[in-house]
Amino acid sequence: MTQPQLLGTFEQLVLSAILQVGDEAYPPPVLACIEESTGRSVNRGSLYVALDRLERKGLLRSRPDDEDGREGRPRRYLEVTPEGLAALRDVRASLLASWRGLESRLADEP
Amino acid sequence: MSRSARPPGIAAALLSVVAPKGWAGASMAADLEEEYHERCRRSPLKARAWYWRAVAQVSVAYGWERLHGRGSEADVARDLRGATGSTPGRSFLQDLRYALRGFRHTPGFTLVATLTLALGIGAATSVFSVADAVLLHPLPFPHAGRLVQVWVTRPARGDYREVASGPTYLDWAHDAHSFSGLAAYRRIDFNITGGERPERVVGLSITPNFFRVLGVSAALGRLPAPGDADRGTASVVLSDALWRSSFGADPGVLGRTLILNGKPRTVVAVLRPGIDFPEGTRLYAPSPYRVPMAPLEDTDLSTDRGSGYLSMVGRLADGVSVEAAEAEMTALAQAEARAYPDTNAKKGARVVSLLDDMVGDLRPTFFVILGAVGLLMLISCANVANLLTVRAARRRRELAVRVSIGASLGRVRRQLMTESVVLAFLGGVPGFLLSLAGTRALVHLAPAGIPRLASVGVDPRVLGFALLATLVTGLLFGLAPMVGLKETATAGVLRTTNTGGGRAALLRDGVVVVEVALSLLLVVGAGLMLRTFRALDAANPGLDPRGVLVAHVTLSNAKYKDDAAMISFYDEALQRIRAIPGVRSAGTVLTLPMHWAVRGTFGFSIQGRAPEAGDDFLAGYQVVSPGYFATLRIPVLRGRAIEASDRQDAPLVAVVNEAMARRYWPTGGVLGARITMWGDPADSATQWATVVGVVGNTAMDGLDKPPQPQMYIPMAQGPMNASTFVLRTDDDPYALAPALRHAVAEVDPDLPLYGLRSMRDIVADSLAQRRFRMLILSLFAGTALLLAAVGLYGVISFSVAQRTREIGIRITLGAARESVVGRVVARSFGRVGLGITLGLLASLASRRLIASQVFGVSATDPVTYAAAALLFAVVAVAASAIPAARAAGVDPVIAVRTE
Repeated sequence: MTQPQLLGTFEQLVLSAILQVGDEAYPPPVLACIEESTGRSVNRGSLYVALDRLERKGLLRSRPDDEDGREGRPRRYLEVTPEGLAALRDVRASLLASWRGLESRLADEP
Repeated sequence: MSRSARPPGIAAALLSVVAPKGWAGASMAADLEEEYHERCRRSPLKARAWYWRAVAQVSVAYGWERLHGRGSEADVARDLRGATGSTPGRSFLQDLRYALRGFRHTPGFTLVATLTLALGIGAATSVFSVADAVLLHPLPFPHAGRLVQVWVTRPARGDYREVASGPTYLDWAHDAHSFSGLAAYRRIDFNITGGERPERVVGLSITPNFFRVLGVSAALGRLPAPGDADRGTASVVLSDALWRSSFGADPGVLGRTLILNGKPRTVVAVLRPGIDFPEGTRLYAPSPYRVPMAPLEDTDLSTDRGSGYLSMVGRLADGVSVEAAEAEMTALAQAEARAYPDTNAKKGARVVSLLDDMVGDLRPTFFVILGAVGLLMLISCANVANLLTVRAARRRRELAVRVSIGASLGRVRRQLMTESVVLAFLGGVPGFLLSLAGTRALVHLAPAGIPRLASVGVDPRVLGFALLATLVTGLLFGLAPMVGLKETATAGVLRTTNTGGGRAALLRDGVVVVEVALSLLLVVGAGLMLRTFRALDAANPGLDPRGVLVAHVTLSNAKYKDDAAMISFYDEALQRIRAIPGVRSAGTVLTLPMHWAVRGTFGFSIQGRAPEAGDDFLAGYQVVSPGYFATLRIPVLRGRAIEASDRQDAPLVAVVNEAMARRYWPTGGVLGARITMWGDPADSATQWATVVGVVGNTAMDGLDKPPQPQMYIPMAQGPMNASTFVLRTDDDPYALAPALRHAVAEVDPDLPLYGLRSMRDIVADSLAQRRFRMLILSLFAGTALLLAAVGLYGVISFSVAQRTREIGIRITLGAARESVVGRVVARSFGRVGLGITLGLLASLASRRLIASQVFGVSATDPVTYAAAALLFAVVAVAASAIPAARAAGVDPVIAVRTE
């Protein structure tokens, strides 16, 4: 089995946001989801570039919707691939491992 | 759909450029548009700002991604090979990045190429910006293309143009249908008095419709117009320049009274900035007569058909062409010639567009310079092309790798082209900056008398030209490395050694040959100009300009009402000037040799002789005081000079120059001959002047013009209100200026003295255009020579480097190092020799063009040709010396190992 690929922080955010949004995931709701969860405004260009890169790495798939609601310019529906899921799992595992025993210090300030 | 519902067009267009192609990119655009519509409902303005920001974010992100994309293995492979499916935009950015990286790694090459291009583009842009402002820009009048200058001609004398008489103007203005208006004007310089200090300004006496014809309006006040009650005769209009320089831009100047040549006039208007027609005019005074005032005497010439003195400017009526107008005016001139054969026989008419009339004479100068610039640009292109082919040859291995792992030949070509264009811009930017300095230098060096120089500057046209020049050069030299590319790609290059390729080598040699030929052409041209200039400098002006100071005065008619008043002024002033310590001698003359002034030839009669058919007696006319010939050291060849005894009441005398004596008295008998300019020879009351002396010729119209017949009459027997004082000293003439001013002011404190110059400077000024041309051409020739040397050096050193292995083997096998050096130098001589031959042939071929520009030297002057050829031979030796020495110093062991 091949080693899951390493993910950048922003790539993790993008992949988890796609999973959060679910079936209706296309770029604007994904952007909103990331902004909501991080509390920061996100550069839209970075999102699209990251989507392209993740797709090139095979960590997500995108497909056009069937409707023709936007003058022949479909929505780009996003879906995390099994490889993407594996990469996220891997990140999660290593993060949890690295946080072991630090809960008290990393917890929110009272 | 309301307007705000569409996203900003420019931003949307930008987005379509940067977005990835295919449906994913389209969907991104749609995402943005969807959100834009949503935001529009709240605030269209904020939505537009948001959309721009979003597009900027996307552009930056994608631009960054393409330039600095993460180097995953897939990416690297794509970069090296040039992905077959990649979009043009994407591959362009790759090429750009690749080119910049390459240039950074070869700083020597980049520096030389950039400098070469900067020189070429900078020189071309400088010259273009001057030529554009002077020759091409329209005049600052509404529909300026419809303005024409109308001249009287003498068809028998070719392109000769002359001024018209008052009645001619009145007839033409009345009868012609070709113009919506025809105005007349005459330059009159005015003494302005009544202020702090008398001032002399260039002015114009005009007909009242003058401003209406030009279509100009006033910045302040109201311009005189034909319907004005007094025809504006008591008014004066100031130019913006005079208003600023002499009246401190004071709006209160309107209504002020100025004393102009002794008569009061009220300021009624100030013109807008930049309006000064003809150039340099500072004030405009409507004439009190139906025609402009005459320059020297304030008399009405509206019925004097014999005195030509005024210029005409007209505005073509709708639908009338210049040719049609000229045809009509010619018919009018012919009718006039039939009606008044005494004064108008053999006269015609000429209509020329105003711009052509102003700058037509300058075209040859600019064509010479533009030609030189074109050559220079070609040479820089050739040079860079050569550097690039050399570079391409060095990069054969790299290019071969690219091709072998799958890049198409077209893709590699596109990349080489990108590099060329990038290089062009690397040179273009400093070139443009260089042109800013170059333009300023050109304006500074330019001789007086080139119109519209003040408007020279950088504008969008100049910027556009620089851009175009950059692109064209980039594409031109970018073609060079393409040659031989196919051999590289198909010959399994990975295994071959680095020999440079047959066709590419041929091209490199060819470029050097062409470059040498073109530079030689420029050097020959510059050499001929230099010799022309030296010939003119050495030409005998017929006078001795050293130690002579000159200054002009113009007496006002109001104050000096008759000849006696003028004579006594000149006598008294000369007496005081001669008393200045250090002054050896002094005199006056109507117009100085080689000095710009309105001059003309006049008909005269010889007692007892009639002119042969078609050959009138014509001569220049000068009025001189005693002491004039001695002061300028114009030799008296026969008889005597004008003397103090030639008073008003003494017998009338005249002195003629040698050209006049030879032309009209070829067999002798000039002394004692009797001539007159004014009277009718048949009339017994006519007063005849006796020729009492012959003096040497002076270069009246410039050193390069043959001397014309010239007569001199004594100041006391025909004084003029305009004159020039000349005085001779053993010291620096300018040191006498204050004393001269003082001496004249003692006689008339209201009289401005102007145009104080040393005679030497006047002679130098007369050569200013030639000097300008010579300087420019020398500058270009020097640059071309430098570029040719650089090009030669590059090619020779490359071929030496290529042959290091061969040279090493030769030395190992016992060849003498001298013979190795000899072979290198001989090779470079072969190319240079061919270039020199071609260059000399090209110079010979263009001898007719050159002939019109040279003086005192043949356009095929063998000395100049030989010197230029020798110069290039020396340059060839110098350019090949370093590579040759390097070849001789090669260590055989290392050399043989070199691949």
